Amino acid sequence: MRKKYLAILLATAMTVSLAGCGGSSDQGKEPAQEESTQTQEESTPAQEEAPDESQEADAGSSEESSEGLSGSFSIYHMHGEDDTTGTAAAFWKAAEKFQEENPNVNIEFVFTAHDGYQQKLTTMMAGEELTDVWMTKGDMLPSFADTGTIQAADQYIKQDSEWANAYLDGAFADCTYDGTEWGVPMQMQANTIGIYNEAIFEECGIDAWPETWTELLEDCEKIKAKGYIPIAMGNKEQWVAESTVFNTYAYKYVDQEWFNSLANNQGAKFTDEAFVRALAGFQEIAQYFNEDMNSLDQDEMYALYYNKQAAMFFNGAWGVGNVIGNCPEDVLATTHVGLMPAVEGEAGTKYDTAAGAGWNYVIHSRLQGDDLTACLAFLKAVSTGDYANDALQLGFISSGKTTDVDVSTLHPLFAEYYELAATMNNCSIFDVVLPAEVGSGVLYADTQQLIAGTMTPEDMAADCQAVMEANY
Amino acid sequence: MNIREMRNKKQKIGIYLLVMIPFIYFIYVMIVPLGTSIYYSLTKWKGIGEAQFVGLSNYATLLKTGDFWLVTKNTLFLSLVCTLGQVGIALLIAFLMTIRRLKLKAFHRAVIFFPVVMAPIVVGYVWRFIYNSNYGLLNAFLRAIGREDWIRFWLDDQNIVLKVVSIPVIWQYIGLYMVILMSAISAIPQEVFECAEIDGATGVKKSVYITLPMVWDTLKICIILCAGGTMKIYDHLVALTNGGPGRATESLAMYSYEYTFKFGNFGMGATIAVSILVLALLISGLVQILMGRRNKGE
Amino acid sequence: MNKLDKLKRYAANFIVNVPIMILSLTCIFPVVWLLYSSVKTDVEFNRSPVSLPSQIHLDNYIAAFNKASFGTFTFNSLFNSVLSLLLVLIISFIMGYLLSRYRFKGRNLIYGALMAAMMIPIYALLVPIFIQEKQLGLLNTRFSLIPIYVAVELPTAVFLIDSYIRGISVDMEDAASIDGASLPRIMFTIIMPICKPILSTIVILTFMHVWNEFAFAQVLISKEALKTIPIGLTYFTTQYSTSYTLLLAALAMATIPVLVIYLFFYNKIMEGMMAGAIKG
Repeated sequence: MRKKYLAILLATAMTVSLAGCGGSSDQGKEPAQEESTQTQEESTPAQEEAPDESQEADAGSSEESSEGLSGSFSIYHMHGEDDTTGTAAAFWKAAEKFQEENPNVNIEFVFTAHDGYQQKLTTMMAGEELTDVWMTKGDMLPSFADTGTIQAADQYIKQDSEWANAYLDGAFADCTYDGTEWGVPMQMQANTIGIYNEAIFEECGIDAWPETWTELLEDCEKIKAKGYIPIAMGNKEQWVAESTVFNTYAYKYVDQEWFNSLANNQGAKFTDEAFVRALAGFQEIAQYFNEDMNSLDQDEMYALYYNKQAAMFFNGAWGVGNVIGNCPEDVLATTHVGLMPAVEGEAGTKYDTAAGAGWNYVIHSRLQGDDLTACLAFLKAVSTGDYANDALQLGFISSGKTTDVDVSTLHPLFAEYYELAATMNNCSIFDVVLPAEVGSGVLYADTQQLIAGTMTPEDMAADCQAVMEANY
Repeated sequence: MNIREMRNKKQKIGIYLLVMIPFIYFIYVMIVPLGTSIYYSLTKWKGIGEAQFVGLSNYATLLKTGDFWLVTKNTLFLSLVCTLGQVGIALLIAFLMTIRRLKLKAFHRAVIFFPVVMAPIVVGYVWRFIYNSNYGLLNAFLRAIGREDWIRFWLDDQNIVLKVVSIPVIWQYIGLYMVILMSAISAIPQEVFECAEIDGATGVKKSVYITLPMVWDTLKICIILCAGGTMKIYDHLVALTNGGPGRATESLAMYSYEYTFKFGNFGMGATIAVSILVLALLISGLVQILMGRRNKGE
Repeated sequence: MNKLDKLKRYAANFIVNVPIMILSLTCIFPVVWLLYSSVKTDVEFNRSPVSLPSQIHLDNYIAAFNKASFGTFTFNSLFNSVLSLLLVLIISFIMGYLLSRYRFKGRNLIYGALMAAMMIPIYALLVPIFIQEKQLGLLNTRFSLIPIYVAVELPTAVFLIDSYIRGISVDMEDAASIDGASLPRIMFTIIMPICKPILSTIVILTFMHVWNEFAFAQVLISKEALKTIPIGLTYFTTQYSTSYTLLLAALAMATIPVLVIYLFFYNKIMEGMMAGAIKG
């Protein structure tokens, strides 16, 4: 009942305002990042409805109940509407529910599939045609933040304790820059998980997933002797080996603190001895990959596993979903997951895993007032609460805390992963945080040469360090 | 010289208008952005905030980058090989199309063009499983003829991969230049051939002495189109190898794209794009000089 | 003697026919692969992309059609292609003819500009053109793409027509001119029919390029109602997986119009035109 009243009230306010505000609509254009949004001026709802204009400095407080909001904003995203998997399906479910509850909120969805997403985002950025909200990776955050293009999300999230408490620990790690949490995270994925075929392991005389790196190497030797590929690898796209295997492997040698220091130019270097040891160790394990590792793509890597040619592979959490969706029944039945083993004599544990939110929603600093309020409520809806539960049922771990999870309703393989994920010590993903020239440039290209044996660990370390220094 | 004179002032104005109106439109849509791009190459710009004018320093940095020279070498190699392969084979086939001996002309003419219209992803897929070391057709063929020693990891071996990827690119566009050259051949008046026949020219002689000079201008355009077009090669390499291993099959266009859209370094991306332009123009100039400015064969 | 001659003829036939036959067969293979792969299931395709389907799943086509709003996208692609094509044909014919036949001040400048535009990678123009269209208010409209496509396709077309017309003797035009025919009349009733082969080549090339164009369509269009087929094709790839069979079904549907135009348009025209050359 209350909801209805509010709606009527707003509607009246709207018509009044439309009649009343013809003229002065141009004053609201300038970016308002200096103006703290907490400075509450007389908030006149009438001003809000000037067509196509976002007003500055009269933000409605975000504690306001999310029922019957009004406002409008645009969002640039990569969630396919027909995508039935993972975060996309959960996103649309939450978005539709939000729109039903808030019929006066006008959301313009701008969609580009993942492959072209970055290209269009860069163009919109250069052309100053960004939408009000968009998804971005950590490596672009500094540009947006330093130029005052985005407003920090944490100032709003912290005001709403229910919202602030709805996220998993570490969900904000990837959107933190300069001590501020700029974005709203939506997923929480391990970049590395071992996926193996127990039947092949048994056939090769291996009774369990290895606990230490030495065991893993021994197991690989046994598997190889039986004529199987020990570890499938499909690194044609260049990111798979680095991002889904090496990244976590490196954390067996170095830790989060080292990485923070590297990322912020506080002393740590790629050429540090521990990191070079990690590179050397990785080059050694590459002999157990299929020999055409650099020309197969990720899907062909899965195929090696599905066809029982390979005994195991390391992949991100999405690999689990892929196995569940595409793996032949007999292989699926004997498939299990395990953490990447620790290396003896090194500081890291098997729990240290590169994981994180990756992509975050960020908000343009021009978005203010009711539009901002509506937008914040929307972002809360598509990253926490029911969204988290739905995503989990669909085989994805979101950044939001789930409630009342019944593990038995999950696919058994995903449930295995879900339990392992809870034990992981999440560390930053290199290619999400580091400048793109390093994270998705030289690191990818050099890893490809490292595992092909055409580059030495020392050369790769020096190469990466040189590019890193050029980009601080 | 097939040149006509303008008859009077009125006609002159009309002709100039007809050419200049579309040309001005073209300048606005293509050349102005091209100028903007050249301007970007003189700045340091992350795509956001103020662009900072830095003169030629991007060019200086680029010339000192080892990777730039590697990808330039790759691109020039591909450009050379593809021009020879695509236009050369296309010319050969176009000639054969004029010979009685060749059977099923309509069939060949129809299907050789097929690859041109195929999406790069399809071509990439097909050739990747021709080259696949495991179930690949090429290695299976080598095994069948007993040359196991020739078997390679075609797309993984840094030393041969560039030559390996050039084959699909050549193969795909033979049809394109075949079509263009056939159009030119079809314009040759029938009497020319009849006279030649009376003089006793057949087969190869006819092609070299009659057909080739008659299509010389078109051939020149084909070579320029092909050499210049291959300087911009992008999609095929992404589909086949994504530039790997390392940067062994990366082209200048991929390198430029990487800087602009992956790294958000607009200045450097534009600098590389301008280098492509300069190289391509040099090549087309060279072709013009080597093949004669115009109407050589007439 | 007679026998040797016969043998020689067989050998020549063999050398001429067999390599081309092999080339032709390799050219059919991708089409065949595309067609049979597009009726597989994803599981089958993932296990082996080469093998034949065990069962024919035509519903891939229906699913692909529905998923990417193929109807709308096809209409938009057709609209853009046909309009761009007409404009390119008319403009390039006029420019190509006049540039090749008359002495011009600044002709080399025009050629130079056309050449430069042909040689610059498209990706270097994306952002400048985006900004330009934004200033003109052209972003996200039905006519966002056509002006760009016309300008991008123009240089190749002009060069092709120019080089073609240069090979044609001017006698006919001079004769018509003496008979009092006006310039437009000469252009459209005398030269244009002679140019049929090269114009039909341009039809194929331009249609194919515009039909498949991706980069500009991606960046200049945000409204679902205005997107084109190549954009729709990306809808089958999500961040972590690709539905290959649907993608291939969609690709098959996207490729067919171009093949049809080639086969029924160009090939038909060439059949008549090549007759003269072959006779010798």
